[in-house]
Amino acid sequence: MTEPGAITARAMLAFLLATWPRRVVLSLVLLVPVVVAAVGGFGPADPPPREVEPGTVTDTGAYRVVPRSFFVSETVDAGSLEEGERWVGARVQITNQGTQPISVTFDDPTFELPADVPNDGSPNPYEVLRVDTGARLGSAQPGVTYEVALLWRTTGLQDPPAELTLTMNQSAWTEWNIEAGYHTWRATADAFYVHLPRGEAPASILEEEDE
Amino acid sequence: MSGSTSEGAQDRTGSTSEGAQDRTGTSEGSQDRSSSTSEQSQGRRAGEGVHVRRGRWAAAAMLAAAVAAGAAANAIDANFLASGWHTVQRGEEASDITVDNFQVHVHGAATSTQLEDLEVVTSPGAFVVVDLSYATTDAWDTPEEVVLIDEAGREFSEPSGFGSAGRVWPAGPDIWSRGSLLFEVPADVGDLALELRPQTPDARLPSRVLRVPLTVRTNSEPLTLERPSVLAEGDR
Repeated sequence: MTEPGAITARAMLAFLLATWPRRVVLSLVLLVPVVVAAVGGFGPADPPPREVEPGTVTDTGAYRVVPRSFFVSETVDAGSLEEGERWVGARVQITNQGTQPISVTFDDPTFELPADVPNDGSPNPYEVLRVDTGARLGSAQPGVTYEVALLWRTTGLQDPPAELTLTMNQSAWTEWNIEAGYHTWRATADAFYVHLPRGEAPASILEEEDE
Repeated sequence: MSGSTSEGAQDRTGSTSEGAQDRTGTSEGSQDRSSSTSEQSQGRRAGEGVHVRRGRWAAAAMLAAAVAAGAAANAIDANFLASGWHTVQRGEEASDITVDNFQVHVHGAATSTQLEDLEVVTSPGAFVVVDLSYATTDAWDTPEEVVLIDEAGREFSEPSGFGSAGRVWPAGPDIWSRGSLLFEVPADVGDLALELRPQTPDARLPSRVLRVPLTVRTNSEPLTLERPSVLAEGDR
């Protein structure tokens, strides 16, 4: 049995609703969701992707990227192709802005092929080759500017279009949730897209012809 | 026997008097109630200062203290990763240094924009080749990670596509071998230090790494990579 004078929920409510000014103030609390909705706070979470021009520098968080062109080829020296598959590549210039090397094929969410290009792997590149040496890039060292070809294998694009849309996701250097002390580039909701013109595959990454 | 009976009587007397006191306490309680009722009605009229028992204040204070302690622990945990057992051992060039199960002797480093690797390759940044020898203390082993660190704290690891000559190699117990390690760094990099990690540091385990500041010679000629070779006893 609660004693008279004790503070109960009922007593608090009676206190808050005791006078008209207090009732008016309390009703304003009910208007808070209305105000938030009017300001646009309940809008969709992902902002729409922004278009960038090829040849211009884009800061995607992990990289400064200059997208150049795309190509389709069957003779790139990056592994074997199945029957009916071909390589689709994007020529870009990338500079790692972080403090640690980024393994471009393993844990990098930045570059994505458009969804309408059939690709049985992940949307991130299958392989990345350096244009200057023709070898795998492996890890992009911080501060070094590389000209690379991002490669995917596809069964489509038999008749390559004049333009291909490459998506570049904005990424942030975030700490792991599970273990403290580790960081990784994680994709945020922001993204850029660029219409790449069709070009030629760089000669340095093509298979050498057997004499 | 008699003594206990008298004590018992005393007990009863004591308890009876206490009981009387209790009853007096009850009357005090009723006084509290009457006083609190009047104060409460006063509080309602004044609109502030509701009378709260002391016990509730104490509970609220303890709750606030518990929340504050939790928040402080979170802040410390987030900002100061528990790594009291990660040691960075500082070393110098041209001396033997022991880190974990490795004995290391760094000779020096050279940098150039070109590397001779079958053909001459020009880097978008610069190549750095580190000349060092190492041995282990107990069994054949290869260091798990060797990186370059610049003044800004950026790390540079082994580049791909340059063959196996510029990579870490296995060394034996007191069997020293000398070789070169290749790195590719941006052209604007400042002072570099070599960090040799026998095991890749894990936040959950003790680890020891060696850091040696490098004096880097600038070469105008393309750099070459030496394959690792075993040294004669006493040589470094």
